[in-house]
Amino acid sequence: MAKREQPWPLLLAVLLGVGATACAPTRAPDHLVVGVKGAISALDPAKAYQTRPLQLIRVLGDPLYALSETGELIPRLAAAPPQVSADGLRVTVTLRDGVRFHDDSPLDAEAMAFSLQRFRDGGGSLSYLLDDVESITVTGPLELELELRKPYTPFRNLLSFAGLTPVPASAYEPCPVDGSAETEAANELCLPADGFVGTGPYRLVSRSADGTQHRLERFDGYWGEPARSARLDLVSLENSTALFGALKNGEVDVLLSSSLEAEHQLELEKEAAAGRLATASSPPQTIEVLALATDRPPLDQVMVRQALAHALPRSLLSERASKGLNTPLRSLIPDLFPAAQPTWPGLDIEQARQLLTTAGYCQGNPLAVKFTYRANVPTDGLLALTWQEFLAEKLGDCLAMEIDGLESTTVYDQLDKGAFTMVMYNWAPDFLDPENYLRPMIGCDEHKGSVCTKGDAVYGGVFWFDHEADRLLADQQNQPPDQRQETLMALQERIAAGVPYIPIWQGRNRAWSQASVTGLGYDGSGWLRLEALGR
Amino acid sequence: MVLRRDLLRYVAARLALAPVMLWIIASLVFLLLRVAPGDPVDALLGLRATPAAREALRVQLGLNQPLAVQYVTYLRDLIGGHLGTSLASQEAVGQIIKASLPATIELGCMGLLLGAVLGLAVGFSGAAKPEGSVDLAGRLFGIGSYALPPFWAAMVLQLCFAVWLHWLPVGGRFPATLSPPEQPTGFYLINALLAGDGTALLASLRHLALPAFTLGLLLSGIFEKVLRLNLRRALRSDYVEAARSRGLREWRIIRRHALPNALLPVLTLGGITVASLIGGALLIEVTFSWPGVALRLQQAISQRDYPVVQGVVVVVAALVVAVTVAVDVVVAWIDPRVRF
Repeated sequence: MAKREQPWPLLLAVLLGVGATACAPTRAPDHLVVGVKGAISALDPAKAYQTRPLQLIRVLGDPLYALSETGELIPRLAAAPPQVSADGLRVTVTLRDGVRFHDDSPLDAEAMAFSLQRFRDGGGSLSYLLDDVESITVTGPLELELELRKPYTPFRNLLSFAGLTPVPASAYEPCPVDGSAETEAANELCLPADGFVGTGPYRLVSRSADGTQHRLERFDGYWGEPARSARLDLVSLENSTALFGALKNGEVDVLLSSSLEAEHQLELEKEAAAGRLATASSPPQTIEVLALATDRPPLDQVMVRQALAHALPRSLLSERASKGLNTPLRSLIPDLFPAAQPTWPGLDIEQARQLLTTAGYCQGNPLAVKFTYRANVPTDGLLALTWQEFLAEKLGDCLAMEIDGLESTTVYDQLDKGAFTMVMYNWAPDFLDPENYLRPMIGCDEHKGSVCTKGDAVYGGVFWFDHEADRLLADQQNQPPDQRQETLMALQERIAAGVPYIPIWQGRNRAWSQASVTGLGYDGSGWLRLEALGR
Repeated sequence: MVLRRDLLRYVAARLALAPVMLWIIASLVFLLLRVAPGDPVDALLGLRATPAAREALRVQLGLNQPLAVQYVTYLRDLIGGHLGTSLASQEAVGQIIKASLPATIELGCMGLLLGAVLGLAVGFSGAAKPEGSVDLAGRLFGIGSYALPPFWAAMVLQLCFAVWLHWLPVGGRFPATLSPPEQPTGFYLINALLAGDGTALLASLRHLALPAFTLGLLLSGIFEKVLRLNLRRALRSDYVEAARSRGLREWRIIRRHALPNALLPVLTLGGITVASLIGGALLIEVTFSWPGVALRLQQAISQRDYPVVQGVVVVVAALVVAVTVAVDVVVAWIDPRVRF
């Protein structure tokens, strides 16, 4: 006689499951949960430089200006576009009247000047952005004047940077001291852990000590259009599977992260295409490049660098490594700017072979190149492997590529020490202007011949200097728009000829939400409009 | 029962050695962090900060000092009970540990409990009826769960129960939509119980279930193996044979004679497991975004946040030392055969 199956284990499992599901907390319709990757460590606008804190600061505060989707400057806390003097050295900004901080104090020129000065002098990562601001003077209750050391056309767009969000001086406190030697020496001001005071549509109500949970409530005294949802909770999760799962099972209403693995992003895009989710993406802002050490063999020969540029199969790499989420780029400026022309050469294996042959390689003497990628970025590893295989198949007699993965913190640490022959990393701008892609790549303060010894080209690991490129970079800083665009294109051509960098692809920030959430979209500066989200 | 003199001597020796052990660990962590590539200034300021800003931060953090000076300062602060301030968040390291350690202890205790219950139940079932189908299944379970890579097991369970079945949350310690019961202790379960808050208790349990079960599953294999082997050995021993010859029932023999003796090594194992719990918890905490000390450690390592890494390692090492000494004392207390 067959043994009778006992249904109890199955029944128990189902009961546990139903019970666990039934215990899940519910939330009000005007309460949204937003998932982000990783903790948000600090919210001081003067110190923040990563996307996560800046995205949060953007909704807790306002910058002076924002960019429209067409790149136009829109006044936010400013009442009107900035007035630039004829010599381009003085910029006058008039503030909007009636704006109040979350602590009900008024926004005035003094408060704005304090924040700008703190940003410039506070030793933050991006303080260099205001290096050329000689003085910040309050010229009226709602008016301040910024004096520049030299005329600088991109300064208008720089004023849209989220880090220039005002926080009143009263919100800062002396940094906590625990009695250890290092903190006794420090005499700094810090924002209390949950004490952000801004002018934005949401105010910070609470923040967990580890920065993984932030509770925001609508600020009723907001000067502009009020936020759609009464409450937002920002929840940080640590890995792609958790973020993906949290959106799929409804734990979060909105998922804000471009750090998801490509497979998860594709799956969410499919769900969005089927109408089960909503999706939005920012304009392409992030670029990924190969940085070539131009100061030493074998890449000190421009022909060799050009050969590598001709041997890069961008479409294949984009398809295989990023599943088509990143689009091929043959410019150091992403294609949201008119100055972004496809200046770098496309794939041409024969040309690459010819260049390498002329340089003395091929026919039993292959060029050995070491290529370093960030091992903790999955797409980088896939790209490196794919390119290595491609080269072995198509150009094996001329080029032998050795690949090596390193954790990104180590890569960034070693870049300016010249540790890499060819290394891959990405660059996201601090503010949207073509110059913010070019200067951080090739800027050079000191050089010996064609080798940069101090400056951005050293930090970028290329050590490249070119007089003509340097001149064009300086010229474009003070030119009218049409002329500037021509200069930027000429500058890119110059860089493409010297090949210190090879652009690979451009990427977008992406967000997904439940289908019931409306208003998902990015502004022209590339920030998700959290205040527009609602059910 | 009084503590034996040899036991007291042993405990005193272990406690006297503890500071030396902690000094060695603290020094090793200090040196290894500085040898490892990666600069905290780069991690904090990114690539494009001005040399002046980088130098100012280096001076502020004391990283411009010679290594020996940094080491002496670090040891002096450590002796004074000051663990320093996080380079990344400017929080006192003591506060960071105080905020995150309860989460790890809560997860570890629950994982250990589940692992012990599951492993002992499976091991007991196998040993009670050796070489049967239950024993075979139990042995396979023991080997399988012991050999499971923690990150893989965590991810599979997360996918099954959170992503596909939607039964449990994917991560975190408490729903974002509710206020966590943070007082009076750092343990949410205890706080919810003390407050009589059923909603908070259920919410805490839902979030704890998956990470604790994963950790328990990974630990259960070793418990299963140790109990099964020791129980089988006990069941073949002379005193058990004597009990059988007196006509005692098998269940009574197992419960009263064999099991207590077989459980002693399990107790020792529980103490040793505390150290491996931290390693296991690291992967579990990262996968389930559990805001414990292991997750903070991982974040601090990636940011080269020296004070946090040093502080966490020293505190965890002190905890491991304390627990292993306590377990030794308990074992010696219970088992009169133990000599030191």
